[in-house]
Amino acid sequence: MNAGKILVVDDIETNRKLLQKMLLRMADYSVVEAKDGRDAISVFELEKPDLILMDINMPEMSGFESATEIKRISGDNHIPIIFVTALSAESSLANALASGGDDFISKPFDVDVLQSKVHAHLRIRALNQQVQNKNSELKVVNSGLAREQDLIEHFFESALKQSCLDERFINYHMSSLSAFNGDIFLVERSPQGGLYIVLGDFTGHGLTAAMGTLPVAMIFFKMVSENSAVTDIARELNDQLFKLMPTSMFFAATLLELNAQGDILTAWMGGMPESFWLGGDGEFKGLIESRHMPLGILSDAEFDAATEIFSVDEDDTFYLYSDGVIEAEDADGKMFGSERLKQVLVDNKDNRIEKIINSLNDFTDEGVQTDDTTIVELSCHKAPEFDDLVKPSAQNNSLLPWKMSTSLTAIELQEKEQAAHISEIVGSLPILQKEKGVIGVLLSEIYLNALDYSILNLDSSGKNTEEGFSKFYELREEKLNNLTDAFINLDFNYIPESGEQRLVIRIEDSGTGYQGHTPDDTENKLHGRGLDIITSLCESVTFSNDGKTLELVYKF
Amino acid sequence: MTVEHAFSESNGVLVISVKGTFDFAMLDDFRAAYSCDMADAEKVVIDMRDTSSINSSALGMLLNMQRHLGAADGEISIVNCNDVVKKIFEITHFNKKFRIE
Repeated sequence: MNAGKILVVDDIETNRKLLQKMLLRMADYSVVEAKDGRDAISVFELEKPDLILMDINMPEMSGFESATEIKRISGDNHIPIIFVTALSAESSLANALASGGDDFISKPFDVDVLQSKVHAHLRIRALNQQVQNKNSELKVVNSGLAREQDLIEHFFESALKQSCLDERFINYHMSSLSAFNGDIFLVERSPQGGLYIVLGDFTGHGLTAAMGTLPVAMIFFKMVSENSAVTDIARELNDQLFKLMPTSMFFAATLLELNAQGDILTAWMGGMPESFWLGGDGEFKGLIESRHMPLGILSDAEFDAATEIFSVDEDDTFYLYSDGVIEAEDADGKMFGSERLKQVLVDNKDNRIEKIINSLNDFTDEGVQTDDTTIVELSCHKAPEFDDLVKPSAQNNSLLPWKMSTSLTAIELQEKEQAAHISEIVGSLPILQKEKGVIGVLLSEIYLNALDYSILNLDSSGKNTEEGFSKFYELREEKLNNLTDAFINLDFNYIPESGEQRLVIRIEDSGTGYQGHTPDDTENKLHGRGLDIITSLCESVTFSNDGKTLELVYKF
Repeated sequence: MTVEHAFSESNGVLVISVKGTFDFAMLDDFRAAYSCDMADAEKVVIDMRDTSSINSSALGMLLNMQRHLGAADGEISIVNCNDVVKKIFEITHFNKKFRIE
């Protein structure tokens, strides 16, 4: 193996040859030559030697100048330059090192000294090269990491995007220990206008802790968009985190829903410090306390999703926070504590979050933050007009008319929820999907009228008392069970016409006919509302055939 | 189809959740929900977030409940109704007897 390439620079050829001979005798070096300082630079660039033995006094360019230039060109790549000199004045030696030289050796040479110096400097050069290689490897790894961090941040940003930070309702402060936060705070309003909050704290800090916030955010936003109850969200979060996370990790959390009316707060809290409840005049009204273990610890079977319900007033406020707030320490290691927090809240009328932060900073004397801290203020108000929050589904304007019909005989009439089954089928047609709810109501009413009053001949007048109400349904069940030889025919006719769509529903039964009861005007009547509902929803309602046939026209 | 109820002792609020189609099939469950644990209830809330539809028999059941509890008009809240359910309450003027949200 080649022991290294050495460049010998001297204007006198015999000197060069002498050095070369000595070097070749020491080890398997390859030796290249240059005849002055300027020549040395071009040979250096061409041959890329590992070490340079440089004479000082040469024509064209001196060894000092040449060394300075070569060091400049090679930059971080360390090329040892040893000056070969007859000079012994200390100033020259100092010059030699100042110009960028690494060492010097005096003429006449001692072979052993030359050998050990060359050897030592080549070793330094090798070490330096190793460091250089590691550095460039690190650079590659680092830029990879930076890119990954960017991508991860993108994930978090998209997943945790807040759409509902109306400061009339929500104010908050969040500060985290590292780029990624183990505290999570999300707010979202449901299509029905409920304001949902999740504030939680994963075990640990940084990326590992933040990992868990992704599934939490996705589940939270999805379930809120479906108007799910707090108890169901808690259960789903627990179940998913239980399946996902290692045993050592869990998620302390507070889940809240303030209803659209702004007067009922539903809470599930597990493993979080208590929340403070203040009235509009700043008076202390109570606490929401943790009643459960944190999420992700218990299996679904063991999990308790029970929520607490608070009847709240306009302008009531709730203060939620992560344990980083009350566990902040002063210089003596004493904790901030919840009593101190409560005092700050009660002592101040407004800007309470800012006051807490100031008080915290005074307490810790701007010391080192040791945990992620989050403080949230929820103010109770009625939701702003939330109708426009409901996204209309795409309208499907088909111009194809169609008909559909079904006949039910006694055995089918005895089945429960037949009207619901039929409206499920009719309402599943794309054209009717938006109207499914109304169609369901219409069908339910006309079907029950036909069955209860025309076929079963039940008398609804007894329904005015609570006892009569249940007696009615007992009798109904009995008569239905004994039913033979009866039918209900249902016809649906969809008619799209110049931008208007109509569904004609025709129901015919085998009974004695029914045309509605005599109007009963008291608001407290317990029956007889079915026809009111139908009439209000439909364009026309027509009885025929002694009330055995009813035709509805529903326009939409 | 189920009726669930949660009673918060600290606040005296009874929340009854009706899931699925609210009609006479729920008669017994619904009555059981408002008949128990009621001694301390200061406020009754019917949560209809999971109620897909209702019919006229459900309206009768709601009136029965109001009568049973001796609640004044507007004292019982019905919350989180979908559009169709809300429409039925409007048509039947149930908003005079219940607080519909």
